[in-house]
Amino acid sequence: MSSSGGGSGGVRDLRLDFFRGLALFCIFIDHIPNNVLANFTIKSIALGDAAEVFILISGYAAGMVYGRAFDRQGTLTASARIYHRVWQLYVAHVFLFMLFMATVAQAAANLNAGLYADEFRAADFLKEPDVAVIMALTLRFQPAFMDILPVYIVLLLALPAVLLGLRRWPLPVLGLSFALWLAVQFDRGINLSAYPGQSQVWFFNPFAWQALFFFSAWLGWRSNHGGVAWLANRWLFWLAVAIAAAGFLLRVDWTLHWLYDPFPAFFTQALWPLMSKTDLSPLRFANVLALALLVARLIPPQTRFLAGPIAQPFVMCGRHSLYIFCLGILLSVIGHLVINEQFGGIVLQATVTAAGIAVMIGVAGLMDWFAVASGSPKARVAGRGS
Amino acid sequence: MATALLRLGFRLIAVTGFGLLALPVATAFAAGCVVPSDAFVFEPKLPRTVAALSAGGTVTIVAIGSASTVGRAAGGPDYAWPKQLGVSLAKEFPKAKISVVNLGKARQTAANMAARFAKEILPLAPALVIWETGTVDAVRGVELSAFRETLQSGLAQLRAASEVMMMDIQFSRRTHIMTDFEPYESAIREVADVNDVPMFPRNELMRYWSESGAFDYTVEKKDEQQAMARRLYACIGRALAEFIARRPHAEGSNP
Repeated sequence: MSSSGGGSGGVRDLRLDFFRGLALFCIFIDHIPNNVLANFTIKSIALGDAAEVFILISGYAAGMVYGRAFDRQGTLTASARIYHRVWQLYVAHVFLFMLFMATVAQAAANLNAGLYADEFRAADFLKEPDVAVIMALTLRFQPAFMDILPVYIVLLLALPAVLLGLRRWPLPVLGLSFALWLAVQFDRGINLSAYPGQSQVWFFNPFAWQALFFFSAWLGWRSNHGGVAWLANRWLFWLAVAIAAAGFLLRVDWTLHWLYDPFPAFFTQALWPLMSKTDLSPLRFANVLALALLVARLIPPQTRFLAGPIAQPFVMCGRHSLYIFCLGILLSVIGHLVINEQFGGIVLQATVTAAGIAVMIGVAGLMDWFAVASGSPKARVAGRGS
Repeated sequence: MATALLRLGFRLIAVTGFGLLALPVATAFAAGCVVPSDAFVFEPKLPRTVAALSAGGTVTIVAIGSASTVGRAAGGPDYAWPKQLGVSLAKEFPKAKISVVNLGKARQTAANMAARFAKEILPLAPALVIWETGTVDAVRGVELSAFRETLQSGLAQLRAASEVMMMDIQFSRRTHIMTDFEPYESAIREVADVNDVPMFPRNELMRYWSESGAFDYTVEKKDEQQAMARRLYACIGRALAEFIARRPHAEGSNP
């Protein structure tokens, strides 16, 4: 994200696709409960997980692409493009909700019987479809694992106004955004209400997560104009190294403690209250920014590795992130069902995970092929080197 | 160091569902529910409760939780795990006069329960409080850090008066489609760990029993469901008694 990181020309920054693809794989793996492989995702090497990476890269890419659109196509066209994207995300969310309803309606009888009667109240919303459907359409009903798209949607809704502001008064706008995040840290009541619980709130608090998204969007937009000079500061680099290293050591320490209790865990009492994912706690915020800075500084955008065959599956999935994300959610539900029905150990878990990732890569490859075959504008991107 | 690494490796297998290695050295129960020998190894012990039980006086244990503590699936508190715990403990400590009070109430969140501590639990002056929670909070989507804070302050309040044990969420095969229980499960584990309070690994045990074929929680006929629930609660009661009765060893003492 330093001056060299911008994709000011037509050259695509493969790092964005690669790490977004990596985040998508991690989200898929983390969403399968009891999966041993979840011990090897981003969340086991940092105080945070793939969600931060996903939002950060989405913000950066949005700022870069739509920032360029603002510069070249004007406010109206650029805003229309953003709202077109919002519409796609919204349709994807509603589609996922339909799949979710179908699964739950099938399983409802079993969920509320026997041991689980009176406990899970699963599918209570099936008794009031009139309310539940409206709540889903208004993004307030966010069933398990369907919580990240709604926050992405509302952040994109605000993006045209924020980008306009960032272009004219970058510091005040970023300051306001940061102040709102800070306010949430002190008053967790600042959040949007959700359904079905009386006091339920959005799992990803948009008033907190906006700070990460818009800061990244600003970086992405600046990358079109030569980047941000102070990001090249030597001391900032070493600060990022320190934060990332501390996050890594703490997380590994906690994992070891969890696996083997007598292994001492450090700072748990002090730090666990500061680990809120809903409100994007300072630890998570700092850790993801530090990692991003390190990646931007240490990996040049056109590294040979990123264009090579090993990185290709990641890049492919990252390129079609919306579809692969939705597919990953669906696959993780199926994968979980398979693992729990068959009670597989590590072997089955690894097999299911590998199969899911293979399907994700396969579909991404299919979409690349389709883009070329149908001659869509994306073909220029997909057909590398041609 | 080598043995530590060996145990770490063993634990790695264990956390993936108590690998089969645990079977040969397990304690067998008549009803077919087996507790792996390493299931409780690292959990803190309850020396004051054990001392009171061994001394042979009157010992009060309070169980507070939601529907699975009430025991409705088995036909009510007479068949619930708190009752079964009393029965099993009485065999283990024949001299003690043990009363296990069931304060379970369906559909209560951790915060609902914590609000009842001062009025309903503290006057009973229990030696031990078993706090079963997490399910309702997960289902209602109670904010995670709020849940964690409720656990933390609730534990502080209870520990000022007695020993405390946490009990986690029931295992189930299919409910994850509905609700993501894992963060709440981890929160209970972590808060218990930070406070050096033992957590009875109900989820892990139920999973183990399901995997080893001892239980099928998905039976569909009403009478089969009730019979299964009664057997399960009896197994949990016995495992709990064993969990409590672990006498402090010199070697494995906790700080």
